[in-house]
Amino acid sequence: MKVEEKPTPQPEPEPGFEEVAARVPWGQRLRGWGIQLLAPAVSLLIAAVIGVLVILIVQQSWGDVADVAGAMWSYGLFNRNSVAFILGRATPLIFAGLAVAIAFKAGLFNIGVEGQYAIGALAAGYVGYQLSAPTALHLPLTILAGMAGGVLWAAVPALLKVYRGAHEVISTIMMNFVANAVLLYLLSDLMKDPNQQGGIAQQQTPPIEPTAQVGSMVPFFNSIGFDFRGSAPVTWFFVLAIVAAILYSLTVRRTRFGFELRVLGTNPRAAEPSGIRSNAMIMKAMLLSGAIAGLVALQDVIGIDDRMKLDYIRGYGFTGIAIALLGRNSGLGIVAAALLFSFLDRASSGIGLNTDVPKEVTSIMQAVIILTIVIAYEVVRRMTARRQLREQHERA
Amino acid sequence: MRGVRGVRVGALILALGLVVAACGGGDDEGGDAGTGGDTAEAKQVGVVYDIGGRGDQSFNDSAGAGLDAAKQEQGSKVEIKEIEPNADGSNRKELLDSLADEGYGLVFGIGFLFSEDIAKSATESPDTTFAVIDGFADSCLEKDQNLLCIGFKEEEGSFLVGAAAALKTESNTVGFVGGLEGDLIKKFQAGYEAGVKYIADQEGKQVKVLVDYAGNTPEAFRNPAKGKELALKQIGQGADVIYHASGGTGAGVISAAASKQVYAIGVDSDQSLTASEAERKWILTSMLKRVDNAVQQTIGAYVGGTVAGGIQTFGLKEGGIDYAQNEYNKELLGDIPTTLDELKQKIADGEIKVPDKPA
Repeated sequence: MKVEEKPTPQPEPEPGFEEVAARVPWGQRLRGWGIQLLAPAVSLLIAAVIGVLVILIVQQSWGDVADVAGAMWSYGLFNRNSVAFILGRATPLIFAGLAVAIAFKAGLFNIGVEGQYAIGALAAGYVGYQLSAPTALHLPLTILAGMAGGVLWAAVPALLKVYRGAHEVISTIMMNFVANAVLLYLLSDLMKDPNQQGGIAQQQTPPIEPTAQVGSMVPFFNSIGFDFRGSAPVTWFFVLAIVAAILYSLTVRRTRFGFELRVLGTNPRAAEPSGIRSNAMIMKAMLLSGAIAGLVALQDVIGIDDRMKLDYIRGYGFTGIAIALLGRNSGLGIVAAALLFSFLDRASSGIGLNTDVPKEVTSIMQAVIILTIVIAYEVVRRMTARRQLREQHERA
Repeated sequence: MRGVRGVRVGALILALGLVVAACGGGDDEGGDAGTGGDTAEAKQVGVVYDIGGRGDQSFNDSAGAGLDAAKQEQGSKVEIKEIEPNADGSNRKELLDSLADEGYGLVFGIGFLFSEDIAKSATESPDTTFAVIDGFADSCLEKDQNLLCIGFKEEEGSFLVGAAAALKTESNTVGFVGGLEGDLIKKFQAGYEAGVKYIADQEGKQVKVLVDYAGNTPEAFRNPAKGKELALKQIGQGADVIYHASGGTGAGVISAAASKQVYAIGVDSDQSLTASEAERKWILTSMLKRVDNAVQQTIGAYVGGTVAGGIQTFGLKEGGIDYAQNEYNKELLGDIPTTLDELKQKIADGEIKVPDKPA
């Protein structure tokens, strides 16, 4: 992935693309979009084919393939709670994808989203149960605390990179381990809920004040004709995630900061001579990435549940890397990729409930999508580059 | 050259598209086949395993065995659906709810991690009875509700293996390694110590019980290195039989015992079956929670129409607790089972009262 971001003799298609697109007629523009959509479509197809092959190898019957497809379709999309589940589960994945993507844009590989959101969730949980204030103050403070936790955890690798040249891949991975240890310690000691009865005492904080909680979106959806269960896991964080994705797109595409970010990401050596202070940009990108990462687990902590639990560290940070990759680091792409992964997860429950096929089929499909997307994008990148080259020839 | 490759890629994509289209064509006809299984009159039982599902050689497998037994026993009177959650366990509640929505009258959650989710599901689906194995929620204490908390009298099983340890020891020193220090594991310790003392008193000897805990975080259940360290320490102090109630930490206890050629006692499920060839020789027995019996009996009660919410604790009397006997430990146990079976009877009859708090 890193290799892809490195400067190549040919113009990098992605950043150059929009500038070209601004001048090209609609027909060509549509064709350009078509090519961009081709890569995810191809990898989806390959994943579907391999999924079918796996079912055939394991079960040896076409009937099961049909069963699986039926279950994915009917339970995955049309079960009573499916839409709520898909939107709810996509929410942390969108944040995680954006956090990874903004660092990607600056040529940084933030593998530490996992640790950053763990600390963020911990901080939000703490402010949530420790503070008492009216909602108008308490809720924003809690969310800001989450972001601050993420920023804090991202600051260490950022500083190490800027001042000591430590590679962010190594330091962010290391910070994940540190975050884990901190989390274990705090949740089983200082921040542990003392009032627990029965069974094994869980590692969780005391309950968060209602003033720091984000409401469920279920009443809203039910008022527009859905029939979700009251406890369906979708909260207003989903809207926040969409807003974050839009802001991300605007920032990257339309602002000076976004432009500098992209220059740094595409050609670090050209950045400094063009008047971009690359160290400052690295700091900003990394801290911004950490701030978004801090939001990842907040839906679990102050939305669906009302406390921070060890259970809420669920590997979103690593899935986020796949989401960013699949979504081509674009806001819209990330939302789509998160929804897709969320759907596949929901569909796997359907496979488990309604067929005799191992539900791991969908995990295999997710893995295949991640693997093939890299290849598919490379193929598309070459196609785009060739097209641009040809256009240049024609113009000349 | 480039052009040729482009054509090739295009052809490949087209071919893939056709394959998928062909597969997709089957959807409409077969889509309902999987869901149309509502046979008349059969009572529907749903089971959500914990992460990993069948094949864990522990709780999930034991529950699975109970389902198989229930199928045998009830025949066509029950229809059972088994399912496991996704890898991070985030959809436990969704699965419970979906089973309830599809009309399953009895839905199990296997393992204490279900406690909170299943309590919420029970409130939302009042027509379904939910049962959580080894779990606990406050609502189980209330009357007239639909959540059944199934527990086990671990102290009784620990008493049995304590007696076995006292019968087996030659150094008159035995060990206990607990996982997370707390009321739950103290029950194991209490039963074990009582069992050791019972036999020691009977035989007129003094047997010392060394007690250590691996920690006070759930990490204490997943720390084999700590288990090994504690076991080696106890062996150094003369212990020649060590019982562990420490989940994954116990792997270290068993490995330390095998390396020093002393005996280990397993917990929850028959650990002789999962241990390596070399370690197996040193596993005296295991304290068993008979999840299978609990599941089978609960399904029986459901078919008979008597299942209800509340708390149900399975002890020796109910067949919910046992010690492991298998082809590997037959020789190790020798005539110990004769004594243990007498003790089982006495505990079941209430002749021996096993304490659930350490003396």
